[in-house]
Amino acid sequence: MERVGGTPRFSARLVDRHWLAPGILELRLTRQEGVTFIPGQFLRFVMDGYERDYTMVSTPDAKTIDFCIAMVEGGRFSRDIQKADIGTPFELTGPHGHFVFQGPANSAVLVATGTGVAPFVAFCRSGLGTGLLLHGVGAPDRLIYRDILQSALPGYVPCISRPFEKMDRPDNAFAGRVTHYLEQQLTQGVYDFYLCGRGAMIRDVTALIDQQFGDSRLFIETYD
Amino acid sequence: MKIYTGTGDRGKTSLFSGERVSKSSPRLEAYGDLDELNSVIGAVASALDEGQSGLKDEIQAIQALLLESGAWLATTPGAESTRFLKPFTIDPANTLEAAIDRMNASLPELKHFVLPGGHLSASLAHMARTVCRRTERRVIELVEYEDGESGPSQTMQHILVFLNRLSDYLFLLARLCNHNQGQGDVQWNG
Ligand SMILES: Cc1cc2nc3c(=O)[nH]c(=O)nc-3n(C[C@H](O)[C@H](O)[C@H](O)COP(=O)(O)OP(=O)(O)OC[C@H]3O[C@@H](n4cnc5c(N)ncnc54)[C@H](O)[C@@H]3O)c2cc1C
Repeated sequence: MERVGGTPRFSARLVDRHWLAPGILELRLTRQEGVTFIPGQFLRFVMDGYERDYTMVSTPDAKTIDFCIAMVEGGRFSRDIQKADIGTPFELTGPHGHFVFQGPANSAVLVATGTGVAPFVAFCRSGLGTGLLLHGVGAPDRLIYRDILQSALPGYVPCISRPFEKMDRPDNAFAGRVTHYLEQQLTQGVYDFYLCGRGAMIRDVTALIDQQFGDSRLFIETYD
Repeated sequence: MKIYTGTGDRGKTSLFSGERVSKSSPRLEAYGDLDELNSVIGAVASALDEGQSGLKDEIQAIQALLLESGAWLATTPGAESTRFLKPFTIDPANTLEAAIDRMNASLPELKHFVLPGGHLSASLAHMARTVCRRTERRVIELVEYEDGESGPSQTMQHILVFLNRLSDYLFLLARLCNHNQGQGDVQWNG
């Protein structure tokens, strides 16, 4: 493993790739000796002419380094990763980022949309899962890692934003966006909010926190 | 990475340690002045002649230290996230002292007051010195506001010593800039 300006750079081979849900791939890369990270951090894929960041869903000591990746229409990495053969080596730098568990100061409210749930999966697998997790998705079949999250967290609430069949309704699901859940269901108080996903959700939830949960702490990871 | 997030549009921002604070809070005032100081110091470096790469490197090293101290200012003392911060020791202040002694030895003895001015690089160094003094005052205000009787943490003490030395360094840097340009100090004949 070499270091570039203090950040480790290494290569890892693709050992497995499968669909977790429609449009969401799980990737597994070999974990070389010495590669470590804190749950919640991400690695940077150094591709031919561009770079992309992905958050690990595996624990730092697991045999493989795992990611869940939403395929984006016309996306460069989305295209390249679907074409890559098993065994392909990838260049990576990292770990990067500070979106990690900050200790049990206030009760935690984890809020994710889509693959923004990745850091929380890593928290849960590392025994750091606590508090409430709102996982916002368009449809019930996008609720990735549901079993892990449900068993690790006292409060796991899938928030389904689009209309869906009653019979498909997962246990405990909330029909609506994560912002609506927070607005309508979360009791007044001081929390540690962790938000991860697309910028629009983060902007809306931050506005709500400033209005309704003023003394809370806020940690964010934006995917765009 | 997007530059704007829209999370600070209502006058608040997040500290590195997660707290949402007003953009006019003492911590943000101190942090903002430190940012301004770093920018003015960048302007000093830009105004130096090509031949002064040694001095430029020294100034850039100081800018990196200002970023590191900025990270401490953006974090509530004692928060879990301080584990990501590089320790800020007394070493940078000691390094500045050595640089001050070196510059002082190379300059003629000061026998009069100087006016802030002369070559553009010198004028900017004087400006940086005054912003540095203001930053130091803001950090003291913050420490007094937050720590009250208990006094500043060791890290804050090191940052304060660093800022205090940096003002002296910038004064000498201003003089050096004028001397390097062959124009000497701008004397005050009052
Ligand atoms: C710190 C960090 C961690 C991240 N972790 C993850 C992760 O764990 N899992 C994950 O799936 N993604 C993650 N991302 C997002 C990821 O880095 C890429 O931006 C994303 O996968 C798109 O890459 P691409 O090359 O396929 O598309 P690009 O070629 O970059 O984009 C193609 C088009 O799609 C749009 N677009 C980009 N992303 C999205 C999106 N999510 N939804 C809709 N449109 C989009 C772009 O604006 C562009 O118009 C993370 C981002 C950051 C900054």
